[in-house]
Amino acid sequence: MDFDITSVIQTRSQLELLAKETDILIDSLYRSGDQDFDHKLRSAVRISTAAMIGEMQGSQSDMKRLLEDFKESLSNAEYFQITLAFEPTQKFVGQIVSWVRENINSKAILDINYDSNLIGGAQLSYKGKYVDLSLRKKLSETNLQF
Amino acid sequence: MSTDVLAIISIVSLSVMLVSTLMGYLGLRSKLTQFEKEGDDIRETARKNARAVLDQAQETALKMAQEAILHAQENKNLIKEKLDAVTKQQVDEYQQMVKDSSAQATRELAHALDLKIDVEWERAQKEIHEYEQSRKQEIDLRVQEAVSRATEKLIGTAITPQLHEENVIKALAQAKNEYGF
Repeated sequence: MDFDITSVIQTRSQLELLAKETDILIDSLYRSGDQDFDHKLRSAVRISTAAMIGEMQGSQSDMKRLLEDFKESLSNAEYFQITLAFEPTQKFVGQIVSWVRENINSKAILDINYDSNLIGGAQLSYKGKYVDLSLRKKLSETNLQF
Repeated sequence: MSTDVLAIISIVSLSVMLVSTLMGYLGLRSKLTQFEKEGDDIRETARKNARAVLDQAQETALKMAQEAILHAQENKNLIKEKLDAVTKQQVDEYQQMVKDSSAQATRELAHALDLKIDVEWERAQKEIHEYEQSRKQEIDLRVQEAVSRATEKLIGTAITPQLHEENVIKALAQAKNEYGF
C-alpha cells in the first residue's frame, strides 16, 4: 500500500516523531491486541496522528500490515538537506518545502540544520549532490576572512 | 342306678377336683416363693456389684488424685518450661521484627534519599541545561550582531531576516539551475 505522507509531514523531525508513534502502535498490537491498540491510539499519540491512522484504516482490517507498510513508507522518505545561517520561522520552513516540492521533488522531506557560521545563504545536499552556497564560502573565495 | 350312687360319685369327683386345685395352688405358691427368693438374690447381687463398682471408682479417683498431686510439681515445671519457650520465641520474633523494621526503614530512607538525590540531580541538570541554552542564545545573538556588523562593513549592507530568506531562495534556485538539483 502506498502512502502520501507529504501532506502531513514537512521536515525530518516531524517524520521521526511520527515514526516513533507508529512504533508504539505496532508494539501495542503485538503485545496485547486490539484493546491495547485502541488505548494507545487514544493516549500515546497526537490527536492528528490518531486521526490520520483512522483515515488510513478505512475498510482495511489488518492494522498490523497497514502500520508496517506505513512505517516502511516513512523509512523510504527522500530527504532534501539544507543548512541555514539562521533559525527559520515556521512560515519560512513552509516556503522552503513548497519551493523544493514544486521545483525538485514533490515528495521531498526537508532535513533542516542551523549553523550561524555560514553568515548567510545555505548549504544544500540532495541525492548525493552537495553545494555550499553560503555567504561564508563566497567571502572565503574572495579571500576575506572572519 | 340309684340316687345314692350318683351322689357318691359326685362327692368323689368334687373331692378329686378339690384336691387337684389344692395341689395346683400349693405348686404356684411354691413357685412364687422361689421367684421371690431369686428376685432377692438378683437384687443382692446387683447391690454387691454396684458397691464393688463404687468402691472401684472411689479407689481409681483416689489413685488419680494422688497421682495428680504427685505430678503437680512436675506438670508445673513442664508448663513453666513451655511458657518460657513460648515467651522466648515471642521475644525473638519481636526482636527480629524490630530488626527487620529497622532494616526496612533504613532501606526506605536510602531509597527516599536516592530519589531525592535523583530529583535534585535532575533539577540541577535542568538548571545547567537552561543556563547553557540561555548563554548559547546570548552568544549566538552577539555573534549574529557581530557578523551582521562585519558583513555590513564588508558588503555595504546589513543582513536582515528578510534578506536571509531571499538569499536562501536564491541559493535553492542556483542549486537547481547550476548544480543539477
